[in-house]
Amino acid sequence: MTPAAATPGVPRGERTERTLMRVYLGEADRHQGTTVYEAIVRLLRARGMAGATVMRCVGGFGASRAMRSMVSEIGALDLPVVVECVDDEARIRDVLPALDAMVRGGVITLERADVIVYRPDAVRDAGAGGGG
Amino acid sequence: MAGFTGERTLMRIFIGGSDRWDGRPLHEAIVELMRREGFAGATVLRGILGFGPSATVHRDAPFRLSRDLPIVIEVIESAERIEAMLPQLDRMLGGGLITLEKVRVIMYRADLPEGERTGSWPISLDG
Repeated sequence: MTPAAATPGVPRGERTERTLMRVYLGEADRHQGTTVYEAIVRLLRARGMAGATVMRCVGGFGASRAMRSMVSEIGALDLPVVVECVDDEARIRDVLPALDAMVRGGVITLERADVIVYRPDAVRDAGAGGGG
Repeated sequence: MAGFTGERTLMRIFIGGSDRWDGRPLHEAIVELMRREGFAGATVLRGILGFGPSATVHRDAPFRLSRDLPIVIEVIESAERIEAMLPQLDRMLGGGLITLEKVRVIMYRADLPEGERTGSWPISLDG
Protein backbone atom coordinates (compact mmCIF):
# COMPACT_ATOMS: atom_id res chain seq x y z
CA MET A 1 0.00 0.00 0.00
CA THR A 2 1.30 3.41 -0.87
CA PRO A 3 -0.79 6.05 0.82
CA ALA A 4 0.37 9.55 0.12
CA ALA A 5 1.61 11.65 2.99
CA ALA A 6 -0.30 14.62 1.66
CA THR A 7 -2.19 17.32 3.47
CA PRO A 8 -5.78 16.12 3.77
CA GLY A 9 -8.05 17.71 1.21
CA VAL A 10 -5.19 19.05 -0.89
CA PRO A 11 -4.74 17.14 -4.16
CA ARG A 12 -1.14 16.19 -4.83
CA GLY A 13 -1.58 15.95 -8.59
CA GLU A 14 -0.68 18.86 -10.84
CA ARG A 15 -3.53 19.62 -13.23
CA THR A 16 -2.64 21.17 -16.57
CA GLU A 17 -3.56 21.11 -20.24
CA ARG A 18 -1.19 19.07 -22.40
CA THR A 19 -0.93 17.41 -25.78
CA LEU A 20 -1.50 13.69 -26.18
CA MET A 21 0.36 12.16 -29.10
CA ARG A 22 -0.48 8.71 -30.43
CA VAL A 23 1.76 6.94 -32.93
CA TYR A 24 0.19 3.92 -34.62
CA LEU A 25 2.64 1.55 -36.31
CA GLY A 26 3.55 -2.07 -36.82
CA GLU A 27 5.27 -4.02 -34.05
CA ALA A 28 7.78 -5.47 -36.52
CA ASP A 29 8.71 -2.15 -38.18
CA ARG A 30 12.43 -1.63 -37.77
CA HIS A 31 14.73 1.38 -37.56
CA GLN A 32 18.53 1.15 -37.32
CA GLY A 33 18.67 -2.36 -35.90
CA THR A 34 15.81 -2.07 -33.42
CA THR A 35 12.03 -1.91 -33.55
CA VAL A 36 10.62 1.50 -34.38
CA TYR A 37 8.47 1.58 -31.24
CA GLU A 38 11.51 0.93 -29.03
CA ALA A 39 13.50 3.56 -30.90
CA ILE A 40 10.67 6.04 -30.38
CA VAL A 41 10.47 5.33 -26.63
CA ARG A 42 14.23 5.75 -26.35
CA LEU A 43 14.03 9.04 -28.26
CA LEU A 44 11.17 10.35 -26.11
CA ARG A 45 13.12 9.47 -22.97
CA ALA A 46 16.28 11.11 -24.29
CA ARG A 47 14.29 14.26 -25.06
CA GLY A 48 13.14 14.39 -21.44
CA MET A 49 9.47 13.66 -22.04
CA ALA A 50 7.34 13.04 -18.97
CA GLY A 51 6.45 9.50 -19.99
CA ALA A 52 5.49 7.14 -22.78
CA THR A 53 3.46 3.96 -23.00
CA VAL A 54 3.44 1.31 -25.73
CA MET A 55 0.39 -0.88 -26.18
CA ARG A 56 0.20 -3.96 -28.37
CA CYS A 57 -3.12 -4.36 -30.10
CA VAL A 58 -4.87 -7.64 -30.90
CA GLY A 59 -5.75 -6.86 -34.51
CA GLY A 60 -6.20 -4.21 -37.14
CA PHE A 61 -5.18 -2.97 -40.54
CA GLY A 62 -3.39 0.10 -41.73
CA ALA A 63 -2.17 1.98 -44.75
CA SER A 64 -0.69 -1.18 -46.25
CA ARG A 65 -4.16 -2.82 -46.06
CA ALA A 66 -2.60 -6.02 -44.72
CA MET A 67 -4.77 -7.58 -42.03
CA ARG A 68 -3.13 -8.14 -38.67
CA SER A 69 -4.68 -10.59 -36.28
CA MET A 70 -3.77 -12.96 -33.49
CA VAL A 71 -5.69 -15.73 -35.25
CA SER A 72 -3.38 -15.62 -38.25
CA GLU A 73 0.14 -16.93 -37.70
CA ILE A 74 1.64 -14.43 -40.08
CA GLY A 75 -0.49 -11.51 -38.94
CA ALA A 76 0.32 -12.20 -35.28
CA LEU A 77 4.00 -11.55 -35.95
CA ASP A 78 3.29 -7.93 -36.83
CA LEU A 79 0.46 -6.65 -34.70
CA PRO A 80 -0.31 -2.95 -34.49
CA VAL A 81 1.30 -1.07 -31.62
CA VAL A 82 0.42 2.38 -30.31
CA VAL A 83 2.99 4.62 -28.64
CA GLU A 84 1.37 7.26 -26.45
CA CYS A 85 3.07 10.29 -25.00
CA VAL A 86 1.70 13.25 -23.05
CA ASP A 87 3.71 16.44 -22.81
CA ASP A 88 3.46 20.09 -23.71
CA GLU A 89 2.69 21.05 -27.27
CA ALA A 90 6.09 22.62 -28.00
CA ARG A 91 8.05 19.55 -26.91
CA ILE A 92 5.84 17.22 -28.88
CA ARG A 93 6.23 19.42 -31.97
CA ASP A 94 10.02 19.44 -31.52
CA VAL A 95 10.15 15.67 -31.68
CA LEU A 96 8.02 15.34 -34.83
CA PRO A 97 10.88 15.77 -37.36
CA ALA A 98 12.76 12.89 -35.72
CA LEU A 99 9.63 10.72 -35.82
CA ASP A 100 9.18 11.64 -39.47
CA ALA A 101 12.58 10.09 -40.12
CA MET A 102 11.76 6.90 -38.21
CA VAL A 103 8.20 6.00 -39.15
CA ARG A 104 7.97 4.15 -42.43
CA GLY A 105 4.24 3.69 -42.35
CA GLY A 106 1.75 4.66 -39.71
CA VAL A 107 -0.40 7.39 -38.24
CA ILE A 108 0.37 10.11 -35.72
CA THR A 109 -2.49 11.89 -33.97
CA LEU A 110 -2.36 14.88 -31.61
CA GLU A 111 -5.09 15.82 -29.12
CA ARG A 112 -5.51 18.31 -26.33
CA ALA A 113 -6.13 16.72 -22.95
CA ASP A 114 -6.45 17.88 -19.37
CA VAL A 115 -3.90 15.94 -17.38
CA ILE A 116 -3.21 15.31 -13.73
CA VAL A 117 0.37 14.20 -13.07
CA TYR A 118 1.30 12.15 -10.01
CA ARG A 119 5.01 12.05 -9.31
CA PRO A 120 6.26 9.08 -7.36
CA ASP A 121 6.69 10.00 -3.71
CA ALA A 122 9.97 9.73 -1.81
CA VAL A 123 9.22 6.24 -0.53
CA ARG A 124 8.71 4.98 -4.06
CA ASP A 125 11.88 6.61 -5.32
CA ALA A 126 13.83 4.72 -2.68
CA GLY A 127 12.05 1.49 -3.50
CA ALA A 128 11.40 -0.46 -6.64
CA GLY A 129 10.35 2.55 -8.69
CA GLY A 130 6.74 2.18 -9.65
CA GLY A 131 4.32 4.41 -11.36
CA GLY A 132 3.01 4.92 -14.81
CA MET B 1 -28.43 2.45 -19.14
CA ALA B 2 -30.60 4.57 -21.37
CA GLY B 3 -29.66 8.14 -22.04
CA PHE B 4 -25.97 7.53 -21.70
CA THR B 5 -25.21 8.97 -25.10
CA GLY B 6 -24.02 12.55 -25.52
CA GLU B 7 -21.02 14.46 -24.31
CA ARG B 8 -19.03 12.59 -21.71
CA THR B 9 -15.52 12.61 -20.27
CA LEU B 10 -12.97 9.96 -21.19
CA MET B 11 -10.61 9.47 -18.28
CA ARG B 12 -7.43 7.49 -18.76
CA ILE B 13 -5.27 6.51 -15.80
CA PHE B 14 -1.64 5.52 -16.50
CA ILE B 15 -0.02 3.51 -13.70
CA GLY B 16 2.41 0.62 -13.22
CA GLY B 17 1.39 -3.03 -13.12
CA SER B 18 3.12 -3.59 -9.77
CA ASP B 19 1.50 -0.58 -8.06
CA ARG B 20 -0.57 -1.71 -5.10
CA TRP B 21 -3.33 -0.35 -2.93
CA ASP B 22 -4.82 -1.94 0.14
CA GLY B 23 -2.97 -5.21 -0.41
CA ARG B 24 -3.98 -5.74 -4.04
CA PRO B 25 -3.06 -4.50 -7.50
CA LEU B 26 -3.92 -0.81 -7.83
CA HIS B 27 -5.66 -1.30 -11.18
CA GLU B 28 -7.98 -3.89 -9.63
CA ALA B 29 -8.75 -1.59 -6.73
CA ILE B 30 -9.57 1.27 -9.13
CA VAL B 31 -11.84 -0.85 -11.33
CA GLU B 32 -13.58 -2.20 -8.23
CA LEU B 33 -14.10 1.36 -6.97
CA MET B 34 -15.61 2.41 -10.30
CA ARG B 35 -17.93 -0.58 -10.31
CA ARG B 36 -19.03 0.18 -6.76
CA GLU B 37 -19.74 3.78 -7.72
CA GLY B 38 -22.00 2.58 -10.53
CA PHE B 39 -19.79 3.73 -13.39
CA ALA B 40 -20.95 2.75 -16.87
CA GLY B 41 -17.86 0.64 -17.59
CA ALA B 42 -14.08 0.48 -17.42
CA THR B 43 -11.37 -1.11 -19.52
CA VAL B 44 -7.86 -2.08 -18.40
CA LEU B 45 -5.07 -2.24 -20.99
CA ARG B 46 -1.56 -3.56 -20.43
CA GLY B 47 1.34 -1.92 -22.21
CA ILE B 48 4.43 -3.71 -23.44
CA LEU B 49 6.98 -0.93 -22.90
CA GLY B 50 7.08 2.50 -21.39
CA PHE B 51 8.45 4.91 -18.86
CA GLY B 52 6.78 7.26 -16.45
CA PRO B 53 7.40 9.90 -13.82
CA SER B 54 9.77 7.51 -12.05
CA ALA B 55 11.76 7.28 -15.32
CA THR B 56 11.94 3.51 -14.93
CA VAL B 57 11.74 1.80 -18.30
CA HIS B 58 9.23 -0.99 -18.13
CA ARG B 59 9.87 -3.71 -20.62
CA ASP B 60 8.16 -6.92 -21.59
CA ALA B 61 11.20 -9.18 -21.73
CA PRO B 62 10.69 -12.75 -22.91
CA PHE B 63 11.21 -15.44 -20.27
CA ARG B 64 11.05 -12.91 -17.49
CA LEU B 65 8.08 -12.36 -15.23
CA SER B 66 7.66 -8.66 -15.57
CA ARG B 67 4.88 -7.41 -13.36
CA ASP B 68 5.63 -3.73 -13.65
CA LEU B 69 4.52 -3.05 -17.19
CA PRO B 70 2.44 0.05 -17.88
CA ILE B 71 -1.28 -0.25 -17.20
CA VAL B 72 -3.92 2.08 -18.64
CA ILE B 73 -7.46 2.19 -17.25
CA GLU B 74 -10.02 3.83 -19.52
CA VAL B 75 -13.43 4.93 -18.36
CA ILE B 76 -16.16 7.07 -19.91
CA GLU B 77 -18.57 8.83 -17.59
CA SER B 78 -20.17 12.18 -16.91
CA ALA B 79 -17.77 14.98 -16.00
CA GLU B 80 -19.47 15.32 -12.59
CA ARG B 81 -18.99 11.68 -11.62
CA ILE B 82 -15.39 11.70 -12.76
CA GLU B 83 -14.63 14.93 -10.91
CA ALA B 84 -16.22 13.42 -7.81
CA MET B 85 -13.87 10.43 -8.00
CA LEU B 86 -10.65 12.44 -8.40
CA PRO B 87 -10.03 12.97 -4.65
CA GLN B 88 -10.20 9.20 -4.09
CA LEU B 89 -7.83 8.53 -7.00
CA ASP B 90 -5.57 11.23 -5.60
CA ARG B 91 -5.23 9.12 -2.46
CA MET B 92 -4.60 5.89 -4.36
CA LEU B 93 -1.99 6.92 -6.94
CA GLY B 94 1.61 7.01 -5.75
CA GLY B 95 2.83 7.94 -9.21
CA GLY B 96 1.26 8.12 -12.62
CA LEU B 97 -0.84 10.21 -14.91
CA ILE B 98 -4.53 10.91 -15.43
CA THR B 99 -5.83 12.44 -18.66
CA LEU B 100 -9.31 13.85 -19.23
CA GLU B 101 -10.81 14.40 -22.66
CA LYS B 102 -14.24 15.33 -23.94
CA VAL B 103 -15.83 12.61 -26.07
CA ARG B 104 -19.22 12.11 -27.70
CA VAL B 105 -20.76 8.77 -26.86
CA ILE B 106 -22.95 7.59 -29.72
CA MET B 107 -23.55 4.01 -28.65
CA TYR B 108 -23.88 2.29 -25.29
CA ARG B 109 -25.75 -0.97 -25.15
CA ALA B 110 -25.47 -4.03 -23.00
CA ASP B 111 -26.91 -7.00 -24.83
CA LEU B 112 -29.29 -6.01 -27.60
CA PRO B 113 -30.53 -9.12 -29.47
CA GLU B 114 -29.45 -9.31 -33.09
CA GLY B 115 -33.04 -9.17 -34.33
CA GLU B 116 -33.52 -5.78 -32.68
CA ARG B 117 -30.46 -4.22 -34.24
CA THR B 118 -32.13 -2.51 -37.16
CA GLY B 119 -29.13 -0.63 -38.48
CA SER B 120 -31.30 2.42 -38.96
CA TRP B 121 -29.11 4.27 -36.49
CA PRO B 122 -31.81 6.02 -34.45
CA ILE B 123 -29.10 7.74 -32.49
CA SER B 124 -28.64 11.47 -32.57
CA LEU B 125 -25.13 12.34 -33.62
CA ASP B 126 -25.65 15.79 -32.15
CA GLY B 127 -25.82 14.24 -28.68
